[in-house]
Amino acid sequence: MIQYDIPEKLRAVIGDAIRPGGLALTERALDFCGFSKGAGIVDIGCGFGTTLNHLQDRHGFRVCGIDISARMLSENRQQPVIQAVADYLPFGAGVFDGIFCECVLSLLPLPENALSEFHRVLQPGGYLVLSDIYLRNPGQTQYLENQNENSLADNTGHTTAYVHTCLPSDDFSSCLSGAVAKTRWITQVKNIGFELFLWEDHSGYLKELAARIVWALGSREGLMKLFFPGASSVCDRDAIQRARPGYFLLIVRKKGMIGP
Amino acid sequence: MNGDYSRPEDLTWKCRKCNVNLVVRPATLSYMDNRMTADLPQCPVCGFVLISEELALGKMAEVEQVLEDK
Repeated sequence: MIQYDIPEKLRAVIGDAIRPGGLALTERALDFCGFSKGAGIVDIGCGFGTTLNHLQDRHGFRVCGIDISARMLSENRQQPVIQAVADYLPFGAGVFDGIFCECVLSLLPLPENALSEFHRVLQPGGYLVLSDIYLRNPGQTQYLENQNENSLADNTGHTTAYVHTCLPSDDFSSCLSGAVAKTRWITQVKNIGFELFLWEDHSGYLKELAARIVWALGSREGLMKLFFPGASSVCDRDAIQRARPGYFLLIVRKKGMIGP
Repeated sequence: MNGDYSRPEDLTWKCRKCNVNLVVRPATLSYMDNRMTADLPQCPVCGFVLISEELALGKMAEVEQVLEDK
Protein backbone atom coordinates (compact mmCIF):
# COMPACT_ATOMS: atom_id res chain seq x y z
CA MET A 1 0.00 0.00 0.00
CA ILE A 2 1.30 3.45 -0.87
CA GLN A 3 1.88 5.58 2.18
CA TYR A 4 1.35 9.31 2.11
CA ASP A 5 3.34 10.03 5.23
CA ILE A 6 6.21 12.35 4.53
CA PRO A 7 9.70 11.09 5.33
CA GLU A 8 11.22 12.96 8.25
CA LYS A 9 14.27 13.77 6.17
CA LEU A 10 12.13 15.58 3.63
CA ARG A 11 10.03 17.26 6.30
CA ALA A 12 13.17 18.76 7.81
CA VAL A 13 13.99 20.34 4.48
CA ILE A 14 10.66 21.61 3.22
CA GLY A 15 8.80 22.19 6.47
CA ASP A 16 5.27 21.25 7.41
CA ALA A 17 3.50 22.92 4.49
CA ILE A 18 4.86 20.05 2.34
CA ARG A 19 4.40 21.67 -1.04
CA PRO A 20 5.96 24.19 -3.40
CA GLY A 21 5.02 27.75 -2.54
CA GLY A 22 3.85 26.95 0.98
CA LEU A 23 1.51 29.47 2.52
CA ALA A 24 2.51 32.17 0.02
CA LEU A 25 0.52 30.38 -2.64
CA THR A 26 -2.38 29.87 -0.22
CA GLU A 27 -2.41 33.63 0.33
CA ARG A 28 -2.30 34.24 -3.39
CA ALA A 29 -5.44 32.14 -3.81
CA LEU A 30 -7.22 33.92 -0.96
CA ASP A 31 -6.63 37.26 -2.69
CA PHE A 32 -8.82 36.06 -5.55
CA CYS A 33 -11.51 34.16 -3.67
CA GLY A 34 -12.56 36.92 -1.30
CA PHE A 35 -13.99 34.64 1.36
CA SER A 36 -15.87 36.38 4.17
CA LYS A 37 -14.74 36.04 7.76
CA GLY A 38 -16.39 32.96 9.19
CA ALA A 39 -16.55 31.21 5.80
CA GLY A 40 -16.53 27.42 5.99
CA ILE A 41 -13.37 25.99 4.43
CA VAL A 42 -12.18 22.41 4.18
CA ASP A 43 -8.56 21.51 3.47
CA ILE A 44 -8.23 18.26 1.58
CA GLY A 45 -5.02 16.50 2.54
CA CYS A 46 -4.45 18.83 5.46
CA GLY A 47 -1.39 16.93 6.69
CA PHE A 48 0.07 18.55 9.78
CA GLY A 49 -2.52 21.34 9.66
CA THR A 50 -0.29 24.20 8.52
CA THR A 51 -2.88 25.62 6.13
CA LEU A 52 -5.71 25.04 8.62
CA ASN A 53 -3.86 27.01 11.30
CA HIS A 54 -3.23 29.81 8.85
CA LEU A 55 -6.81 29.97 7.58
CA GLN A 56 -8.25 29.98 11.07
CA ASP A 57 -5.79 32.18 12.94
CA ARG A 58 -4.98 34.69 10.21
CA HIS A 59 -8.32 34.93 8.45
CA GLY A 60 -10.93 33.79 10.94
CA PHE A 61 -12.44 31.09 8.76
CA ARG A 62 -14.28 28.09 10.16
CA VAL A 63 -12.07 25.24 9.06
CA CYS A 64 -11.83 21.50 9.08
CA GLY A 65 -9.48 19.12 7.36
CA ILE A 66 -9.28 15.61 6.07
CA ASP A 67 -6.24 13.48 5.44
CA ILE A 68 -5.56 9.83 4.82
CA SER A 69 -2.57 9.81 7.16
CA ALA A 70 -3.43 9.12 10.78
CA ARG A 71 0.11 9.94 11.79
CA MET A 72 0.00 13.43 10.34
CA LEU A 73 -3.47 14.07 11.72
CA SER A 74 -2.31 13.01 15.16
CA GLU A 75 -0.01 16.03 15.26
CA ASN A 76 -2.90 18.42 14.71
CA ARG A 77 -4.97 19.05 17.82
CA GLN A 78 -6.18 22.55 17.10
CA GLN A 79 -8.83 22.06 14.41
CA PRO A 80 -11.42 19.43 13.64
CA VAL A 81 -9.81 16.85 11.37
CA ILE A 82 -11.11 13.59 9.99
CA GLN A 83 -9.23 10.64 8.57
CA ALA A 84 -10.85 10.18 5.20
CA VAL A 85 -10.12 9.82 1.49
CA ALA A 86 -10.61 12.67 -0.95
CA ASP A 87 -12.95 10.77 -3.25
CA TYR A 88 -15.44 9.85 -0.52
CA LEU A 89 -15.91 12.88 1.69
CA PRO A 90 -17.78 12.53 4.98
CA PHE A 91 -19.78 15.73 4.45
CA GLY A 92 -23.22 16.66 3.22
CA ALA A 93 -23.88 18.43 -0.08
CA GLY A 94 -23.26 22.15 -0.42
CA VAL A 95 -21.83 22.73 3.04
CA PHE A 96 -18.58 24.55 2.25
CA ASP A 97 -17.77 28.01 0.92
CA GLY A 98 -14.35 26.92 -0.17
CA ILE A 99 -12.07 23.94 -0.63
CA PHE A 100 -8.30 23.90 -0.62
CA CYS A 101 -6.54 20.95 -2.22
CA GLU A 102 -2.85 21.75 -2.41
CA CYS A 103 -0.45 19.30 -4.03
CA VAL A 104 -2.78 16.40 -3.30
CA LEU A 105 -4.90 15.67 -6.36
CA SER A 106 -2.04 14.33 -8.43
CA LEU A 107 -1.40 11.72 -5.75
CA LEU A 108 -4.78 10.14 -6.36
CA PRO A 109 -5.30 7.29 -8.82
CA LEU A 110 -8.68 8.73 -9.91
CA PRO A 111 -8.61 12.49 -9.34
CA GLU A 112 -11.87 12.98 -11.25
CA ASN A 113 -13.71 11.12 -8.49
CA ALA A 114 -12.31 13.51 -5.91
CA LEU A 115 -13.26 16.48 -8.09
CA SER A 116 -16.83 15.20 -8.20
CA GLU A 117 -16.87 15.04 -4.42
CA PHE A 118 -15.46 18.56 -4.18
CA HIS A 119 -18.26 19.76 -6.46
CA ARG A 120 -20.85 18.02 -4.33
CA VAL A 121 -19.80 19.45 -0.98
CA LEU A 122 -19.28 23.02 -2.26
CA GLN A 123 -22.21 25.36 -2.17
CA PRO A 124 -23.12 27.13 -5.43
CA GLY A 125 -20.70 29.98 -6.01
CA GLY A 126 -18.08 28.36 -3.79
CA TYR A 127 -14.43 28.20 -4.81
CA LEU A 128 -12.13 25.23 -5.23
CA VAL A 129 -8.43 26.07 -4.94
CA LEU A 130 -6.07 23.57 -6.52
CA SER A 131 -2.32 23.79 -6.66
CA ASP A 132 -0.36 20.94 -8.10
CA ILE A 133 2.29 19.63 -10.45
CA TYR A 134 1.78 19.68 -14.20
CA LEU A 135 3.86 18.77 -17.20
CA ARG A 136 4.92 21.71 -19.30
CA ASN A 137 6.18 19.46 -22.06
CA PRO A 138 3.95 16.37 -21.87
CA GLY A 139 4.70 15.26 -25.41
CA GLN A 140 8.21 14.33 -24.32
CA THR A 141 7.20 11.36 -22.20
CA GLN A 142 7.13 8.79 -24.98
CA TYR A 143 10.15 6.96 -23.68
CA LEU A 144 8.66 6.30 -20.27
CA GLU A 145 5.26 5.63 -21.75
CA ASN A 146 6.81 2.80 -23.71
CA GLN A 147 8.31 1.43 -20.52
CA ASN A 148 4.92 0.98 -18.96
CA GLU A 149 2.65 -1.59 -20.50
CA ASN A 150 -0.22 -0.38 -18.38
CA SER A 151 0.15 3.20 -19.47
CA LEU A 152 -3.20 4.96 -19.61
CA ALA A 153 -3.50 7.47 -22.41
CA ASP A 154 -5.71 10.38 -21.50
CA ASN A 155 -8.06 12.18 -23.82
CA THR A 156 -5.37 14.64 -24.86
CA GLY A 157 -3.21 11.81 -26.13
CA HIS A 158 -0.70 12.25 -23.36
CA THR A 159 0.24 9.59 -20.93
CA THR A 160 -0.95 9.94 -17.37
CA ALA A 161 0.77 6.90 -16.04
CA TYR A 162 4.37 7.48 -16.87
CA VAL A 163 5.37 8.75 -13.49
CA HIS A 164 3.59 5.91 -11.76
CA THR A 165 6.16 3.71 -13.43
CA CYS A 166 8.76 5.32 -11.28
CA LEU A 167 6.90 5.37 -8.01
CA PRO A 168 7.96 3.37 -5.02
CA SER A 169 5.50 0.61 -4.35
CA ASP A 170 5.62 0.76 -0.60
CA ASP A 171 7.29 3.99 0.27
CA PHE A 172 6.66 7.67 -0.18
CA SER A 173 4.46 8.82 -3.01
CA SER A 174 5.22 12.28 -4.37
CA CYS A 175 2.87 14.75 -6.02
CA LEU A 176 4.76 14.17 -9.26
CA SER A 177 3.04 10.80 -9.40
CA GLY A 178 -0.05 11.94 -11.29
CA ALA A 179 1.14 15.04 -13.05
CA VAL A 180 -0.52 15.70 -16.40
CA ALA A 181 -0.69 18.56 -18.88
CA LYS A 182 -2.44 21.89 -18.24
CA THR A 183 -5.10 21.03 -20.80
CA ARG A 184 -5.86 17.81 -18.96
CA TRP A 185 -6.26 19.54 -15.60
CA ILE A 186 -8.57 22.17 -17.07
CA THR A 187 -10.60 19.62 -19.00
CA GLN A 188 -11.11 17.60 -15.84
CA VAL A 189 -12.49 20.46 -13.78
CA LYS A 190 -14.70 21.67 -16.60
CA ASN A 191 -16.08 18.19 -17.16
CA ILE A 192 -17.14 18.09 -13.53
CA GLY A 193 -19.07 21.33 -14.01
CA PHE A 194 -16.75 23.95 -12.52
CA GLU A 195 -16.22 27.39 -14.03
CA LEU A 196 -12.59 28.28 -14.66
CA PHE A 197 -11.67 31.31 -12.59
CA LEU A 198 -7.87 31.45 -12.60
CA TRP A 199 -4.86 29.50 -13.89
CA GLU A 200 -1.39 30.70 -12.96
CA ASP A 201 1.99 29.15 -13.48
CA HIS A 202 4.14 29.05 -10.34
CA SER A 203 6.89 26.75 -11.53
CA GLY A 204 9.44 28.96 -9.82
CA TYR A 205 8.22 27.59 -6.49
CA LEU A 206 8.85 24.05 -7.68
CA LYS A 207 12.35 24.96 -8.78
CA GLU A 208 13.01 26.67 -5.46
CA LEU A 209 11.86 23.61 -3.54
CA ALA A 210 13.95 21.31 -5.73
CA ALA A 211 17.00 23.48 -5.07
CA ARG A 212 16.41 23.36 -1.32
CA ILE A 213 16.13 19.59 -1.42
CA VAL A 214 19.28 19.27 -3.53
CA TRP A 215 21.09 21.56 -1.12
CA ALA A 216 20.02 19.39 1.81
CA LEU A 217 20.64 16.05 0.13
CA GLY A 218 23.82 17.06 -1.63
CA SER A 219 23.02 16.21 -5.23
CA ARG A 220 20.39 16.12 -7.95
CA GLU A 221 20.85 12.37 -7.86
CA GLY A 222 19.53 12.42 -4.30
CA LEU A 223 16.50 14.42 -5.39
CA MET A 224 15.68 11.95 -8.15
CA LYS A 225 16.10 8.98 -5.85
CA LEU A 226 13.81 10.53 -3.30
CA PHE A 227 11.00 11.28 -5.73
CA PHE A 228 11.64 8.60 -8.33
CA PRO A 229 13.31 5.60 -6.71
CA GLY A 230 12.03 3.49 -9.59
CA ALA A 231 13.69 5.69 -12.20
CA SER A 232 16.89 3.76 -12.20
CA SER A 233 18.31 4.60 -15.56
CA VAL A 234 19.70 7.81 -16.92
CA CYS A 235 17.10 7.57 -19.70
CA ASP A 236 14.29 7.53 -17.14
CA ARG A 237 15.62 10.61 -15.41
CA ASP A 238 16.21 12.43 -18.67
CA ALA A 239 12.64 11.68 -19.72
CA ILE A 240 11.29 13.14 -16.49
CA GLN A 241 13.37 16.25 -16.99
CA ARG A 242 12.27 16.58 -20.62
CA ALA A 243 8.64 16.55 -19.47
CA ARG A 244 9.52 19.76 -17.58
CA PRO A 245 7.45 19.41 -14.41
CA GLY A 246 5.95 22.73 -13.38
CA TYR A 247 3.57 23.97 -10.71
CA PHE A 248 0.23 25.72 -11.05
CA LEU A 249 -2.44 27.49 -9.07
CA LEU A 250 -5.94 26.80 -10.37
CA ILE A 251 -9.09 28.35 -8.94
CA VAL A 252 -12.48 27.18 -10.14
CA ARG A 253 -15.98 28.06 -9.05
CA LYS A 254 -19.09 25.98 -8.66
CA LYS A 255 -21.77 27.42 -10.90
CA GLY A 256 -24.73 29.13 -9.35
CA MET A 257 -25.36 31.88 -6.85
CA ILE A 258 -24.79 31.75 -3.14
CA GLY A 259 -28.14 31.56 -1.36
CA PRO A 260 -29.43 34.02 1.28
CA MET B 1 17.60 25.68 6.28
CA ASN B 2 20.80 25.42 8.20
CA GLY B 3 23.49 22.85 7.71
CA ASP B 4 27.08 22.76 8.81
CA TYR B 5 29.24 22.89 5.70
CA SER B 6 32.51 23.57 7.46
CA ARG B 7 35.39 21.12 7.68
CA PRO B 8 37.93 21.03 10.51
CA GLU B 9 40.70 22.08 8.14
CA ASP B 10 38.71 25.19 7.15
CA LEU B 11 39.14 26.54 10.66
CA THR B 12 42.90 26.56 10.30
CA TRP B 13 42.54 29.51 7.91
CA LYS B 14 42.95 33.08 9.03
CA CYS B 15 41.39 36.17 7.55
CA ARG B 16 44.30 38.00 5.93
CA LYS B 17 42.70 41.38 6.30
CA CYS B 18 41.70 41.06 9.97
CA ASN B 19 44.32 38.49 11.05
CA VAL B 20 41.85 36.44 13.10
CA ASN B 21 40.84 32.78 12.94
CA LEU B 22 37.69 31.88 11.08
CA VAL B 23 34.62 30.74 13.02
CA VAL B 24 31.54 28.83 11.89
CA ARG B 25 28.43 30.99 11.62
CA PRO B 26 25.23 31.01 9.59
CA ALA B 27 25.65 32.58 6.16
CA THR B 28 23.02 33.40 3.57
CA LEU B 29 23.71 32.23 0.04
CA SER B 30 21.82 33.89 -2.79
CA TYR B 31 21.50 32.82 -6.40
CA MET B 32 18.88 33.77 -8.98
CA ASP B 33 16.55 35.28 -6.36
CA ASN B 34 16.72 32.18 -4.18
CA ARG B 35 18.27 32.22 -0.74
CA MET B 36 19.59 29.45 1.43
CA THR B 37 21.39 29.48 4.72
CA ALA B 38 24.31 27.36 5.76
CA ASP B 39 26.81 27.30 8.57
CA LEU B 40 30.09 28.26 6.95
CA PRO B 41 33.53 29.34 8.15
CA GLN B 42 33.86 33.09 8.12
CA CYS B 43 35.80 35.96 9.60
CA PRO B 44 34.14 37.10 12.85
CA VAL B 45 35.30 40.67 12.19
CA CYS B 46 34.61 41.46 8.54
CA GLY B 47 32.29 38.54 7.73
CA PHE B 48 34.32 37.28 4.77
CA VAL B 49 33.12 33.73 4.05
CA LEU B 50 35.34 30.82 3.05
CA ILE B 51 33.73 28.43 0.58
CA SER B 52 35.79 25.34 -0.06
CA GLU B 53 36.46 24.11 -3.57
CA GLU B 54 34.68 20.89 -2.68
CA LEU B 55 31.49 22.75 -1.74
CA ALA B 56 31.67 25.15 -4.69
CA LEU B 57 32.17 22.43 -7.29
CA GLY B 58 29.88 19.93 -5.59
CA LYS B 59 26.66 20.79 -3.88
CA MET B 60 26.67 24.46 -4.84
CA ALA B 61 27.14 23.67 -8.51
CA GLU B 62 24.29 21.14 -8.32
CA VAL B 63 21.92 23.70 -6.81
CA GLU B 64 22.92 26.28 -9.40
CA GLN B 65 22.11 23.82 -12.17
CA VAL B 66 18.67 23.15 -10.69
CA LEU B 67 17.93 26.86 -10.52
CA GLU B 68 19.23 27.41 -14.04
CA ASP B 69 17.10 24.64 -15.53
CA LYS B 70 14.39 25.94 -17.81
